[in-house]
Amino acid sequence: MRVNEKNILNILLSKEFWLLSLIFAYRELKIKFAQTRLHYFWVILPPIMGFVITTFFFGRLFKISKDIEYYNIYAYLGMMTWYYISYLFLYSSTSLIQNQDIIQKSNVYRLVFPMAKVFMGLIDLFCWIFGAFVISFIYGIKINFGIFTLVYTIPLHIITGLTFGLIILLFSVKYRDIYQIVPYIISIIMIVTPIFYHPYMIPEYLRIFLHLNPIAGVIELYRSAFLDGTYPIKNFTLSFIILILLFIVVLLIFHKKEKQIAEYV
Amino acid sequence: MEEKEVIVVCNLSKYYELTTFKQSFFRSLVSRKEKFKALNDVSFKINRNEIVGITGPNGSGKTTLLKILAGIIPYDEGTIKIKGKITALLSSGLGFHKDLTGYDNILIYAKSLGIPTKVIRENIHKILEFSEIGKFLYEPIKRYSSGMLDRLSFSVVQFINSEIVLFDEVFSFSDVSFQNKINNYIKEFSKNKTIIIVTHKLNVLINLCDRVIVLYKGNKIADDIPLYALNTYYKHINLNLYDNFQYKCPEINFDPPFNFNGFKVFKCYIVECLSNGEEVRKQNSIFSNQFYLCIVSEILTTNAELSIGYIIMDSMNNRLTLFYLDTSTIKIKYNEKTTVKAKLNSKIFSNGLFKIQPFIVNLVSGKFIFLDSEIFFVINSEEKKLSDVVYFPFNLNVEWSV
Repeated sequence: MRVNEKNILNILLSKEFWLLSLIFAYRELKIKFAQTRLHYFWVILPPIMGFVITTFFFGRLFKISKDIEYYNIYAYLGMMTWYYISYLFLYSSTSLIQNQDIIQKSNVYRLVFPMAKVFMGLIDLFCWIFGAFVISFIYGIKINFGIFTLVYTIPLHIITGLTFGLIILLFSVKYRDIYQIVPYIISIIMIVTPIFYHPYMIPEYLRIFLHLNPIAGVIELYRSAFLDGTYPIKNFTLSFIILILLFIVVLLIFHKKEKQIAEYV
Repeated sequence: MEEKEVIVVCNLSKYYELTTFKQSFFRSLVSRKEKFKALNDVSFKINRNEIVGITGPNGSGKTTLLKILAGIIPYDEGTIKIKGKITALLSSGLGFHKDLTGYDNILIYAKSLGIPTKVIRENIHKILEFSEIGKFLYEPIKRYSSGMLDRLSFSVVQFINSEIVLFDEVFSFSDVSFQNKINNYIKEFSKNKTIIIVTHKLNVLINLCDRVIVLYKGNKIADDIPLYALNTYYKHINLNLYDNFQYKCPEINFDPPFNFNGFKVFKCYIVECLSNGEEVRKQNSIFSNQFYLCIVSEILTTNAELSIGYIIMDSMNNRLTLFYLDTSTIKIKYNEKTTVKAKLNSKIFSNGLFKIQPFIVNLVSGKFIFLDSEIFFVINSEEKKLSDVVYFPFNLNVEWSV
């Protein structure tokens, strides 16, 4: 898929675009585990660490952990969502700079590089989700039909992370000032999003802001898939609609700016 | 656009923004940058199944042109029409990662050039055969030599299936035999493809290309069959040289005389010998090639073993030929200041700058002692000569006289 393509739909529907994204994801994966003895085996480390942290640290230390049944899996799901979103936030926004040499000398469609990060992160995400099933099994949580909501939760999860990453990327094509504040944005979002705590703990009058946060929405979607009696999802409908519209706009802007990228990156 | 044309470029211009001076922090926030014209009104057409070479000095816009053709960067003015799919190989081993194995790298590289992974998997033996990598294929490429990397990255070219292929200096690291292989390969490859090659290598331009486009500071100065195009190119470069040597006298004086074991050289200079035998001392270094050149040296010798000779070099200091006075056939007087003349037919020289370096030779041992001075002269004739490209004065017929 080449940069000269006029219509973005042609690109997104072509097999070549997805195959290219996959091969670049394969490249990232190979680079990540180059010269390691255990190789791909390391992908199971993040979920295990997530389980250890939520069960033995937060589960014991936090007062709220006593109010919530199965707190460790509750926090684990929050952590899982956050892990993937922050990954996309950080890496899809810098993916063009990372592949500078390729971008300046090849006409591979530029969206391939953020997309490669999506696939790369998906490997971790699937390990986390698999981990969630294992933990549910260990704690004897019954998995009901709610689990099928994962079919749209995962795409929504990807879109959330990718939209944030692409926004940062678009703002930083010519001037990279925005990268200076990205770490602070990430930590602020981490605090305002109920990852380790319950949304009910946020005061009533501030909850409108919570409802505009699609990351909180994705977390609650995962929680409702695995656990019962969580925060009602319909509160987040508006934020999801805004998110998807934003995603489409961001893609269109990216497609328009795409030709200039090689000059500035 | 006619049937046979695959690329038509019309009045193409491209600007870059430049910061031409050191700016303070505050000024850099507000000031506008200067515009630099990388390509200026370039137009050309390329036909199907043609091999076109693009050459020119560094910074003349060759790579910019290829990048625009490949669609990597936008252009500012003009139109481009392209019929067919383009694959651009702008640098060899693009995106190769040092930690990955040769096999993984080649798979990813091929995919980014639009070659399906399946084709590479099935034809891995062809790649091995072409690149001569052997058992290194599954090693991380940080253990490869740069020639191996070049060969590996070039080996996927055979699977490219697009109609137009662009090469930018892909011949850099490979050794002579592999370059030959590449040349033969491109010839074979061009039977059903259109190829554009950016290179500085004369042998590629002359032997491989059907046509050469010369860029100079963003302008197209020539578009012709290779030898004629290169002729224009070298003349263009030499224009600056003529200006520099307009006021230089083709003469060197040794004061005190250059002395080696009793062989003294006082002076060396060039004169022009007209057809009636008259010798003309020139005030500048520019000679036409209608007459004979005479290299004159004033020497004094007491040693029968020593003699004088000259090396002729081109403007790039490549030694073209040497000749010396054989004192066994032409006798010189010892212990007396003598003028030695060497007469050359200046028709053997192509247009351009040449240098003459005098040396003293020991006729018995064959040892050379170079004088560190050079005489410059420029040959500038109006006629267009093919030999301008390949400076090789064969059958140098030198008439010595004392």
